[in-house]
Amino acid sequence: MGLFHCPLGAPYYDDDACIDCGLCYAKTSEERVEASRKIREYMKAHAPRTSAVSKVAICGKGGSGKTTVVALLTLALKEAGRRVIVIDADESNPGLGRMLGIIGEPKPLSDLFNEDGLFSERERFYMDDIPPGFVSAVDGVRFMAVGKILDPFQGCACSLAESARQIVEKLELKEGEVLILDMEAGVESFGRGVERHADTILIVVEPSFESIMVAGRIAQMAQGMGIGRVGAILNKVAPDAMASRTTKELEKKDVKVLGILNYSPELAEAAFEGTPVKYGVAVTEAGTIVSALM
Amino acid sequence: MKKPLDPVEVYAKLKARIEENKFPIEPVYFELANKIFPGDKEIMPRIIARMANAEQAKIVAALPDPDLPPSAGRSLEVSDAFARKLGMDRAVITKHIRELFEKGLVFPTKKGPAMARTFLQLHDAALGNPNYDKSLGRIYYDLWGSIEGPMTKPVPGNLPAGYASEVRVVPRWPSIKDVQGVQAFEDARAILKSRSLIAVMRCGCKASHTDRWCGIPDESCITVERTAQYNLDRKTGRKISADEAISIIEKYDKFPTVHLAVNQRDVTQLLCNCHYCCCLAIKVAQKSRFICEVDPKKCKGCKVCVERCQFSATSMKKYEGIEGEKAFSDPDICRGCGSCVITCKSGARSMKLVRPIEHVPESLSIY
Repeated sequence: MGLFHCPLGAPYYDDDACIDCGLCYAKTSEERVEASRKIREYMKAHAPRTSAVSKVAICGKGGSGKTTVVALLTLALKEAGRRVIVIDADESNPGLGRMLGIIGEPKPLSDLFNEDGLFSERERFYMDDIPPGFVSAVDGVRFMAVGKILDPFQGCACSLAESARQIVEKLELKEGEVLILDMEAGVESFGRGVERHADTILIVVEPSFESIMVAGRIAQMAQGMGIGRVGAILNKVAPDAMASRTTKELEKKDVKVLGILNYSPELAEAAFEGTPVKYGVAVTEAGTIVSALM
Repeated sequence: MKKPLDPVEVYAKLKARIEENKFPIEPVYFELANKIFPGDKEIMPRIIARMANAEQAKIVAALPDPDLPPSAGRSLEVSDAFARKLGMDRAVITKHIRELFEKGLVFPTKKGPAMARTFLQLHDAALGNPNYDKSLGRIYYDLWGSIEGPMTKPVPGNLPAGYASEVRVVPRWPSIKDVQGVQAFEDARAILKSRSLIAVMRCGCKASHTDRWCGIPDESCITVERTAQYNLDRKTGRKISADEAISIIEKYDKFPTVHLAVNQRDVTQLLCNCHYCCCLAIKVAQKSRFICEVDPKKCKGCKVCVERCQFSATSMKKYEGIEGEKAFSDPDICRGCGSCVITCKSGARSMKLVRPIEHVPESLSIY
C-alpha cells in the first residue's frame, strides 16, 4: 500500500484526508482488517451530502414506473414552490413529455453540443443560456430531452448519455430550481457517469424480486460514486402487506424507503390513455415524499 | 518499444553500478533509515543520504518540532525554539525543509514538518520529482531500483485464491467503447472527465528502473485530486484538463502498457500506465471485468498481440478448419487490459464483459 494508493486519496500520512486508519503502516493481517473496517465505516458516514436537494436522478428497473414518478414528483415539487427542470435522459422510451402535458418535443440536447461547438467547451451555464428550441415549457415546468434512438442503425446511446452527463455536470441551478432526471432503465446507464453529478438518487421500486435486486445494486453503485442521498420510492403498491415486506427487503440491502405511491386507478387510466398526469391522491403522496426529501 | 532485455542481466548491471559507486554513510542516516525501513543497513541509509545533506539530516532527525504550538496547523514552519536548539537560522531551516518537501522526504503534517512514516510513503513521493535529478544522481535511482529485484514478466496464471489485490486493471477505453454495460469506474475516459483536478507527472516507478525497455515517456503518471495537488504544491507535474489527459493516454496506446488504478470504484489517487519492466504492481493487479476474445477467421497471424501481452495470455495455435496458426487468448490468464485489442489491425480481437459489478470493490476494503 503506497501512499499514492490511499483509499481515501490522502497523498501522505497525516494529510487532511488521512483518517489514521492504519492501512499504510499495517504490519499484520489483523491490522489490515481493522484498517479496512475503519475505512468502510468512514466512507459510509462521510458520503458527501449537499445541504439542498438540487439534482435528482430517478432510476429503477424497466417498467417500475420511473417516468410516472418523475411526472408526479414534478407536480409535487411545483406545489412546494420549486421551479422544476425535467430532463428526459431515457434514450429509448418516449412518453415523459406527454405525461407532463408538453406539446411538441424539444430539440434533442445531443444537438446542443454537436451544433454549437462553443457550448461543449463552457464550464458552467444557466438555464437562461440554453437556446429556446431545446426547452419546452408548460405551466412553469421546463422540459428537455437528450434525444431518442429512433433509427435502429444510429448505434450506441453513449453520445446521448454524454450530452446528459455534460448538462447535469455543468448546469448551474439558481435558488429554487430543481433538476429531475428521468434515467434509463436498469443499472446499465450508471456506466456513463450521468449520475455522478447528481446529489440525490431516487430508486423506483415495485414489489417484485427483480426490482428489489436492481434497487440494491443501484444503491451500492451510487454509494461507490460518493452520492450520499439515496432512497427508494415504492410504486404500484396494492393495498396489502406488500409495502412492509418490500421495505424490509430493501432495508436488508441498506436502501431507505422515502415514500410509497399506492396503486391508483387514476394513474393507470392516464397511462392507458397517454394523457397528462392530473392532481389527485398520487400527487398528494408524491408531496409527502418531497417533504421527506427536502 | 525497444527490444526486450533480460531482467536478470539488467539487475546484475544495476547491482554492479551500486557496488562501483558505494559511498560511506554517516551514523545519522542509519538512524533515519531505521525509522522507515528497519534492519536495512545498505540501501535505505544511502537513499536518504542522497536526499539530505549533513545539515538537512540533522534537521530531519530533530523533527517533529516539539515546541510548535498546536495552533500552527499543517505547515512546513518550525518554531524559533527549534532553530535555537539546532543552532541554526530559522530561515535556513525553512529553506532546507522546503527542499526536502519537494524531494518527498518531509511532509507538512498536523504536528508540523515530519519525515515520511513508511517505506511506501517515501517511495511514492521520493521518485516523482525530476527537479533534483542532477544532485540525486543515477545512483539514487539505482538504489531504489535495487530494492525491487529483477523485473521479470508476471508469471502466467491466477493470483493465489483469496489474494487481496490493492490495484486493478482498467481497460484501455477504446477496447471497450462498444461493449454494453461498461461502468464509470472502468471507463478511463469517464474516470478522467469526472475528476476535479488532474496533474500528469514523471512516473516514479519508471524513474527507479533506469534501464527499462517499455519505451513509454517518463511523464506518464496521471495523478488526480489531492494526490495531484500535493505534487503541484511541490512543483512537480503539470496541471492538465480531462481532455488533455485523455489525449495523453490515447498517445500511449502504441505502447504495450496497462492502466492500473487502486482496487476500488472511485479513483481518487492516480491512473497508471504500467509495464512489467518498471512496475511491480502489475504482477499482482486484479483482473478487470473483461477478457479479450479472438475471432480466428479474422486473425491474420501478425503476432503483435503476442508481443504486447504482459501476462503471457496470448499465443498462437492451430484452429481446426483454418489455415495457418492464429492468435489465441487464454481466458483464465487474460487480465482484461485491452492492450492487444486496440492494436489488432484485422479487428479479430474484442473485449467481452464476463464479471459482475461486485468484482470491483466499492472501497479498498478488501481485507
